Amino acid sequence: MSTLEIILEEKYSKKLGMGPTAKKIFQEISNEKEAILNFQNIEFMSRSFAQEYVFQKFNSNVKIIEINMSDSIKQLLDVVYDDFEQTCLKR
Amino acid sequence: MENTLTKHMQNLNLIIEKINLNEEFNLDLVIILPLLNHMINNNLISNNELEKLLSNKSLKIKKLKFYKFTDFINISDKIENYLSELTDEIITLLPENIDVQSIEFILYEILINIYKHSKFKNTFLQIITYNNGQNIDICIFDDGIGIPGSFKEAQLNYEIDSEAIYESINGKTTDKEKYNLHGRGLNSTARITTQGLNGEMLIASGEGFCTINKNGVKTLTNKNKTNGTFIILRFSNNKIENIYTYLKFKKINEVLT
Repeated sequence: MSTLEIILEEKYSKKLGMGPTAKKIFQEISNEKEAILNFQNIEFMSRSFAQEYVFQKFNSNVKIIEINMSDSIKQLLDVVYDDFEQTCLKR
Repeated sequence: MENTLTKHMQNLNLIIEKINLNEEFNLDLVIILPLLNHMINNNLISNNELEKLLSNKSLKIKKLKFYKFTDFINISDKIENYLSELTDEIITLLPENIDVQSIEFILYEILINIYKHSKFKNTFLQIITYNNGQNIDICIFDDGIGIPGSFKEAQLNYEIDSEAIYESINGKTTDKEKYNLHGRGLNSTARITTQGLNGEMLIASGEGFCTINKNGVKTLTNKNKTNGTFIILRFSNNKIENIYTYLKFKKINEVLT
């Protein structure tokens, strides 16, 4: 069976801003074993989106393969993950 | 260092008190938006006049699209696409050499908060540039329930409104998900503006307002209630080298008035 791939720019927007969008992405792949999230042409990710993305990814059983992610988005997700770890996981 | 934005709230109070007497006043550009809202609420401006004002390109005022707030999750796709277009358009109103990434972080957090929490009927955004684009004000006014009102709806009551605003800057949230990171948006917006771009910020809502600069937050009381939320971001047109420093949550302390 082939792995589901979501091209985020085509399905959602070139700018990922809203938390509910991250929630929808993970709802869409929730029945998969693994999924490819293709970040090609994503120009911007907000902190709100990143927060929800990190939270959903942490709580998902799906193996996520992220491709074509820009360095700026990687850096943002690292910052938010650190915050998530300190705020939510150490409580 | 004194926060220069405080005087605009004093001007706004003076003008709102005077405007009923039809007195002339010197136009303070920064307070056009709450003034506009005051005029709409008191039928002091016709729809035609409002349209004329909004189409005046030199004023750079945008009225935000209204969505019904009954089902935020279901309309989030529409808002997502709208915010993408809107922020593209706002960037075109700013100087060409603007730090687009920093501005987008700021705009997204404020606009998402407005669509998520405020329940507005009218929201206006205005760009003002000074000194050949070296200094910039971004002003945003929504006529929604306000920050203290939003907390009140979530059964979080504060004795004074400026305390509610102060808490919202420092991560307090009305969202109920226990293991999530909501409430960081205003904090990162304030840190990018005041520490990253060496600017100032004002947030007025209800009977309180806070001014923020690199020294910290001042909490103040406003004698005329702001029905909604009014935000001013004032900063220099600089590039931030490492914006991620300001996206980490860090409490902004209160400084005594």
